[in-house]
Amino acid sequence: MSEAKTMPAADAGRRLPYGALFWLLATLLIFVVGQQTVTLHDQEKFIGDFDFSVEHVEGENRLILNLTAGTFAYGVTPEVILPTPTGSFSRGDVDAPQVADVLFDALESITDISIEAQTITVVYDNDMEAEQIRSRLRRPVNNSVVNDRNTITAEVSQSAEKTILFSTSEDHFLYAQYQPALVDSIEDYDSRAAAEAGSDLARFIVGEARAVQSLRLEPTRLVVGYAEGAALEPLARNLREILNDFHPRASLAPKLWLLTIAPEIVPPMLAIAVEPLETGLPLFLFTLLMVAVEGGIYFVAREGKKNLLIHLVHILSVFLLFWSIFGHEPLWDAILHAIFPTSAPLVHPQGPVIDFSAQHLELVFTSSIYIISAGLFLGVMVTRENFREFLPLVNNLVNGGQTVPTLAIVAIMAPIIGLGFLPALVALIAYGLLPVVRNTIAGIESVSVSIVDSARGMGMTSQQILLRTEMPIASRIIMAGIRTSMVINIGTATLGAFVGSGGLGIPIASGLSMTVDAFILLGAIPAALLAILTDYVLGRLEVVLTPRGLLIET
Amino acid sequence: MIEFKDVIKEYPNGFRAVDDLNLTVRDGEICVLIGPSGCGKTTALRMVNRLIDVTRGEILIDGQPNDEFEPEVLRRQIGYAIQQIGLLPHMTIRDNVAIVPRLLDWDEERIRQRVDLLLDMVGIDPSIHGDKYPRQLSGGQQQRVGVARALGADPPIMLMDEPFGAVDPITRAILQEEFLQIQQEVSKTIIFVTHDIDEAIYMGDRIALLRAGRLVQYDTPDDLLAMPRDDFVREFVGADRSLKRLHLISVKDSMMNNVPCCDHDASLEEVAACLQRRQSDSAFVVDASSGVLLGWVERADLAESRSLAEAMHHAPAGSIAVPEDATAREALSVLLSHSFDLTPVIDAEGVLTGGVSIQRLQDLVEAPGIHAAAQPERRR
Ligand SMILES: Nc1ncnc2c1ncn2[C@@H]1O[C@H](COP(=O)(O)OP(=O)(O)O)[C@@H](O)[C@H]1O
Ligand SMILES: [Mg+2]
Repeated sequence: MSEAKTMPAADAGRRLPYGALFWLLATLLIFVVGQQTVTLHDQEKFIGDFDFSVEHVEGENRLILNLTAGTFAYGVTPEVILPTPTGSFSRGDVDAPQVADVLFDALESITDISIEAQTITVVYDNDMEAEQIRSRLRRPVNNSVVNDRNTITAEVSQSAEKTILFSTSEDHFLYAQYQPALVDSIEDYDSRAAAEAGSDLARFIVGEARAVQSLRLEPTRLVVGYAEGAALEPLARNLREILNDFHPRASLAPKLWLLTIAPEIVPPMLAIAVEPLETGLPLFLFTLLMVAVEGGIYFVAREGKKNLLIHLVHILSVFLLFWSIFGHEPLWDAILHAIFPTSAPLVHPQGPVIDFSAQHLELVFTSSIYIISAGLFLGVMVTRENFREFLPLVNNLVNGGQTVPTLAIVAIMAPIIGLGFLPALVALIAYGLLPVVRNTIAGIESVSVSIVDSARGMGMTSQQILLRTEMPIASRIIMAGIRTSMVINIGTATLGAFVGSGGLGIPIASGLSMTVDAFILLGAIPAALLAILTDYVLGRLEVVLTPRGLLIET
Repeated sequence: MIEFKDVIKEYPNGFRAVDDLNLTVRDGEICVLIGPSGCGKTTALRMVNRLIDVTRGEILIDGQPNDEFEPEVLRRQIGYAIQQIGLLPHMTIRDNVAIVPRLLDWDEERIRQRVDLLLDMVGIDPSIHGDKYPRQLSGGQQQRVGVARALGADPPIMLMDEPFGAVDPITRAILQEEFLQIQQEVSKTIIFVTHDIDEAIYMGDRIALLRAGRLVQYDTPDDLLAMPRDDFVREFVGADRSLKRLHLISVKDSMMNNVPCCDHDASLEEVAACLQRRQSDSAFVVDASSGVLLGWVERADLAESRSLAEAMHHAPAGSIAVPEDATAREALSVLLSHSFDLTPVIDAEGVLTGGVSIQRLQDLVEAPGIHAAAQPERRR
């Protein structure tokens, strides 16, 4: 009989940790998919993975970086990749495949092109040196005719008079359409021109290597003019590092989880450029942490211990998840393009979402710190015996702060303290104070008279009563106030853009003025996500900070 | 020792809640403050640990005016238990009991031992309930913890404001009894507020009856019942004060030792002679060798019987007799439910030791104050 009674409890204890198993499965899935992607592509190189030798031009303050692998292609996003249609084409054919067009464009003297699965034969008709023609065609072929990926394995040979043969050892020629441009014209920049109107690569180099004065970009060669007296060795080393750091946009691969979670919105070619695991890491870590959380809850919660650590890990993991969303520009691009079918770039020109989010969070957290400290202080003060007479006054003040529209506060403030971060901060503080003050007062008032009386009767000082009795018991209500205040704050902070405080209001404001709906979403979606995240995190924190004894239902 | 000297409390609105109170609580005694609601009991109590300031007069603790202490220092030396208990809901039971020792900076090991000892003392198993929270306990358990907490730092003085007021009557009776047992061990000087006269009579060494802030009578429970000073007191203690007094007296102290009885092997003639001699219509029959009560015999039955065994009424001792340690009130109850004019009294072995008669009980109730020694031995 007694055994039968204890059975249900033991059963409950032996219930499997389904949550942990679920996340473990998710982790495995990601790992396996990630591994597969690795094995698929790990022998190949990205555009922008360079190998080069550095050559110094004596007496000229000049370094020449000669490419031995890869090209100085940049800003490349392959959009389509298809086997090149086979056939013979002559200049002016309307339906010549892309690769034929590219070759015709590259050299005036080409008259006919014949494309087979593994060879392209180019016929030329003037008296240029074959070697010359071959070298001038090599780059277009390499750049637009790609076998599987961007690596050049095509062999070039000259078979007959006025004919050049490109052949590939792979299955067949593929061609990709790139946008925007490659380093396809030879360009010269001085450092100022590079900083202002240079190509991405030129700007990148000038931005990172101070000694660089002039730049000449060629498809396979980079000529760098450096300042008088610059130390050569470090500069060369520096340039090498810079170039290896430079990842053209094409290699800004979507994170792995994008492929696993929403493959249909990933342009097919992007998938090829995925850096597995490394970029899927936030998601991978997220699921791994979730395993820890669920497992921890399973083992710890059962024994009724405090699970502060679990909550903190949980919060961290959710942060990771959200962060990988915010930080993921290709995702934003893909989502926005899915909603607004247009070829115009939809990622905001002023900066990536993550920057706006960071500014936004800065505004929210700074104001919240003031709100919380001032709110707690006011709430505690007016519930003290000596200051109780101020209670109605403070109530009216914070109520007032809430009723005046934030924009009005900003408008009043702007002429006094000008534009920027500060007026936005003041407005947010005025607006967010009410929930904190009100809940602090309500929380402290909720402590029953008899509890305070017995605390006093046992000999606690008023300070001890506040810290050991009133605050812990009020903590849950106070935390709820802070949570409300911060969530409101995140929404309100978008108005800060109107006084130049930055944040997610910027895309919204420019979206409104330029009538680009996508920009509005670019601000609104992260703001909403941030609000949800904050609400969730503070909700957790509320549970963590509430003393256990108060969580027991009576 | 706690002394109220000409203590007056006037609230800021001019209301005089305690008016010229003079009262001395002796060491180790429970002084019960009682009176109708609003008569100033709580006010008087809370002035002792300075939760309320005295308007005029002074309160001495062991001869020293209590306003010579810092209020917090004073309060940490005085146990405080209230009807609403006021356990801190965010602290475990152990932490609640440890509050005052912690305020006094005891070292943790000593606190732990003290807390477990106290919880054991009030009947809360520390290994089961020690790490629970107040909300996980029943009302009665919380009251026990409240008492343990008041005893936390072993204060010489305890102030208790209707500490058992919020529990059901059965639990209250148990708590009262247990608390008296604890008091037997710890012997604190206690001021105990209640509005329940039965609780006052049961718990108090002395009862101070207040009316509108004034002390009406300050006496032992028995004297209060026996000699109410005026109609107010008489009405307050109730029309059943005689019964209440009987409740304070044990059978042992009120019984007559000499009762008509005969051995079970006596002849009918001997029995008749005994009845004749005692001028009684009945006699108890006891076992000749052990003296255990077997039953009784009535004069009317003697004529038709050939032996005592045939004439006597057999009865298990428990059904007609009261034990020696019962109260006089229980004896009266048995008297009323049987038709005897004498209730037999037996000891633990069932041996007849005496009897209680209506006449005897009347005499007791009318006597002006029974000596303390005559009180039932409820404190043992
Ligand atoms: N702070 C106060 N101000 C004015 N009157 C009070 C105050 N506290 C109590 N009283 C009054 O003093 C009287 C005695 O109160 P109290 O000592 O609490 O009575 P009780 O005997 O029921 O414990 C009551 O009439 C009450 O209304
Ligand atoms: Mg009271």
